[in-house]
Amino acid sequence: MKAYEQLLWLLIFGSIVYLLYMVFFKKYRYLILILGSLILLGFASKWMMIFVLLSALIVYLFARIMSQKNETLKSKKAEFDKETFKQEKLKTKKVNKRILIVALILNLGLLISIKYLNFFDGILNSIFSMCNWDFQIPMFKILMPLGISYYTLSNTGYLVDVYRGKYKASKNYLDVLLFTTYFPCLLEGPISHYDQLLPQLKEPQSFRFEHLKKGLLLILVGLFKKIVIADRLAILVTQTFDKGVTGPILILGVIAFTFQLYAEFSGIIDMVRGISKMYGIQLERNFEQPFFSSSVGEFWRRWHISLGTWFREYVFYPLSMSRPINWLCKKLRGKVSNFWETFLPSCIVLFVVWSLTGLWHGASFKYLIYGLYYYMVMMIENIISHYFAHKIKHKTVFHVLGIIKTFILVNIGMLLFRCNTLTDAGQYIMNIFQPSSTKLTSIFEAKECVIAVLAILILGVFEWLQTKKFDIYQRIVNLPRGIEYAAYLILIFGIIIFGAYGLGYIPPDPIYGGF
Amino acid sequence: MKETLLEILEELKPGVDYENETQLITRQILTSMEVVRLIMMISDEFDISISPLYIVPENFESVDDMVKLIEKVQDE
Repeated sequence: MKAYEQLLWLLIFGSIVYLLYMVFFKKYRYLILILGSLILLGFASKWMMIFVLLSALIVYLFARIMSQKNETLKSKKAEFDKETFKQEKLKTKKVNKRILIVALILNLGLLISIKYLNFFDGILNSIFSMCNWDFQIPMFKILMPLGISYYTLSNTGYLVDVYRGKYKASKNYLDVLLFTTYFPCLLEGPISHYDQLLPQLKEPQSFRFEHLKKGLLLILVGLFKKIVIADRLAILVTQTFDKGVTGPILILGVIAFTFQLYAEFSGIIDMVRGISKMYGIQLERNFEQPFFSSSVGEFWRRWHISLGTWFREYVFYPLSMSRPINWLCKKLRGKVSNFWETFLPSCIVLFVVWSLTGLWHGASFKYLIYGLYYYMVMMIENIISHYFAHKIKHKTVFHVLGIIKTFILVNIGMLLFRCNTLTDAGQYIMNIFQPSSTKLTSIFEAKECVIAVLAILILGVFEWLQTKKFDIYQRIVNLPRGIEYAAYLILIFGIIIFGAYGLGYIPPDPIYGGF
Repeated sequence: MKETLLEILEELKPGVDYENETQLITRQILTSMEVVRLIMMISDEFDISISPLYIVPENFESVDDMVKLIEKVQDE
């Protein structure tokens, strides 16, 4: 099925689910969400649906066992003196830790075996070849369940939070199923927190015209980013990356890919947030105008925020507080300056975090290097900032220079991300310095170029206003009714007239949907 | 307790007006790793174990927030 037919189908499907939800018995409205999500999964593949049902069941059962142990301990608190209670608490924690490990092995094991089996296969086969062993493990053809990388992380967060005692596990399997399968978030996230999302999903939301308007506005903005910007830039990106073009035009290709990826990923997230908003469900933000960041570290705090938050809460903090890092911190105390006392342990922890972040994007060395590239840049940025930040006098000038520097460094990262292999990335860079093989207008018509630049500028102004705390969405909704509806119509016609679809356009698949 | 905490913070990162500062995290005065180091120092000093669960900005924005957190963990 073509991408736009899929989009149209999803639009019709989403509308039916929305209508059914709003007219169904209030108490059981959440069942419509579960049913809608399962039907969507079932359409993709019945095996995927069964897989997700089982995955949610595993998470539900293990969380319940851990929670019950915590509850039993709490109920006996009055029976123990302080010291005995402390001992009992430690015992329960130890048991729960084992349960959590098994749950994580099962939960993450499914993701690892599906997503990374061939990656490890490849490594082993390379070792066998190097040792001249005439033995190769065959590569497996495995169908990757829709959105597995997203809901596995959300579910892992749920398990760890229950283990830590942040909240009790749900007694109802349907709660976990609802959280796991909530259909707008299935394809590209955002990765959600159980305690923030589930209460909203379970609450019977009522129809509110303001929610509908705000939701539709977000969906329209998302569609504008996806169809007018991302899908148009895809033409230039495909030509520069896949058709052997040479010359400085390749620099434009990388920049176009950076904007394509941002417009597409943030556009889809806008749509996801818009659909949720229509129901009255507020999702966490996944982007905060990342291209206005003056350092790569800041860029990553504003790009794919839910992934960064997940890694901080469930990898960075536990690792930073682990015994080996604690030992290192104690060894360093008083022996080196304060900066290095903090910097050296974080070097080790962040190495793990960024290796995993890279590998989350895909099972190949390219993605590992992609993660480690950002790690290196951020470490260097930290050192430079420590030694030179206080010497800077013209803060505004340096802020602007910082934004430009960040943009360049991010583009290098995007180049690694887009090329199929590291060798291809090297070749791409070499090709920039070769004589031009073609003119820009022969691979990207002047008309397309003008529309793309104008659309990016509009998006830039839109985002800049948001950095100034100007809530443009609220302002539009608050406009006098006639002007408000005119704004919606302009947006709708803008998408219809300037959208890169129809004859001569090949709709690309969502890039982040593949993860 | 507050005095000890101020000494720890001064050792962790000198030159900050910890007594009056109420946005240590929001204003990015303390980084994530500095918060982790702070937790380690607090845990040693007060003989407590702070779960990663408590590493949220609200618990580290000011010295008073940290005092409240320590008291809460001690009570558990």
